[in-house]
Amino acid sequence: MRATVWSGRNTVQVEQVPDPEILSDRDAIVKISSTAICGSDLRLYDGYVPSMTKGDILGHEFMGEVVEVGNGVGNLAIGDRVVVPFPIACGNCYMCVKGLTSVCENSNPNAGMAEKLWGHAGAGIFGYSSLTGGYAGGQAEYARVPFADVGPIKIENDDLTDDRVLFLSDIFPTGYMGAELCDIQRGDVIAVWAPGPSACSRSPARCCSAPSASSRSATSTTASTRHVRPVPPTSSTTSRSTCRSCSRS
Amino acid sequence: MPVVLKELTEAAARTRASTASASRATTSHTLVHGYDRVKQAARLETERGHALREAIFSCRNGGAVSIMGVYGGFVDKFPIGSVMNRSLTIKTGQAHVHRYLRPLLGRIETGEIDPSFVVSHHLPLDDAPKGYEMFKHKQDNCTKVVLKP
Repeated sequence: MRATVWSGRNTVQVEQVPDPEILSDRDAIVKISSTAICGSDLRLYDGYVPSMTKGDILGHEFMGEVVEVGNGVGNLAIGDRVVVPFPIACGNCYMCVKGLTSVCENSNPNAGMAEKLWGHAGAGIFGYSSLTGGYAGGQAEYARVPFADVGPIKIENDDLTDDRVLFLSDIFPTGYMGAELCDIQRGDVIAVWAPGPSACSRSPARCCSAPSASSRSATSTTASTRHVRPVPPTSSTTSRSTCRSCSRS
Repeated sequence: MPVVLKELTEAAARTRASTASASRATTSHTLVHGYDRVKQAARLETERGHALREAIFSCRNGGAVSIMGVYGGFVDKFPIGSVMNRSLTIKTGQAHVHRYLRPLLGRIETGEIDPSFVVSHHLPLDDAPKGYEMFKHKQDNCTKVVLKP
């Protein structure tokens, strides 16, 4: 298959690589229909993330069609259309049971390496260096999805285009969680520093962080980190801001 | 930014600050910015801490700073004194995507939210190298690249 591989600082290439195979009963193989480049991929591209190796397949925002399932994956069938979350999570460990799937204790085979840098290891992540498991990513024709009985979500409504659901894999929940962690309350002033579309996801003006921000009538300020400049709210009780990343308001 | 936020928060209860990929923040007029650039060029600092520091300095006493995006290693000159003495709360983490999937898909299905607005470019998979360059340098108003294998 063809896949996007990291080839050193500021270099990626599309190369022919071996097709992925089922390695565990809980694996699935997904034929990818859409896959996005994330802002965090640019950190790999820049060469700031240690433990990248030339030939690593990039990509952690992807979706597609299930073409093969392991014997232990009872909830997916060949032909299902799925979006795959970027953290790989077993669903059974202490952290997964608490809902903290991005720090799953069973999905990072290189946990020892991560512990040396961070004290404890995080979960495995698709296409994001050996520190997060060294998994092949999704900027490719196919991907192996471990713990496929836990992660992928089926998209059963064919009217939903790939572009509408693809970002469930990362930036939409990331932006949403960013707002949720702030515990935003009525009357709060919100400022967002961000260079990319995750900020749109959490911008109160875009309403992606609706439960935390816009529904509680917070005052918002959005700033790109490239051009840090606040946009004054139009009123004290209505959320409105201009996102400098997408130039929409 | 801190000054404007200070004005905005005079009549408000609290300030919440959120940073995303702030490790890639590039705009700064501070001496610390030069310090960051030198240390990063020598690969002695893995993060650009400007946006993170500014978010902390901008946050009102008792407020919360939510740190998303991605940080991989170490940031210098972290203003712990500002955090501690002003009772700020810092919360962070890679997104626990699994727990948001169903509720957020529900919001997409009802039409309440349509995240597709972030997409600026569709490219074939073979153009991934071009996509990375466009996205990195924000060429052609690039906000998000979707690759089609």
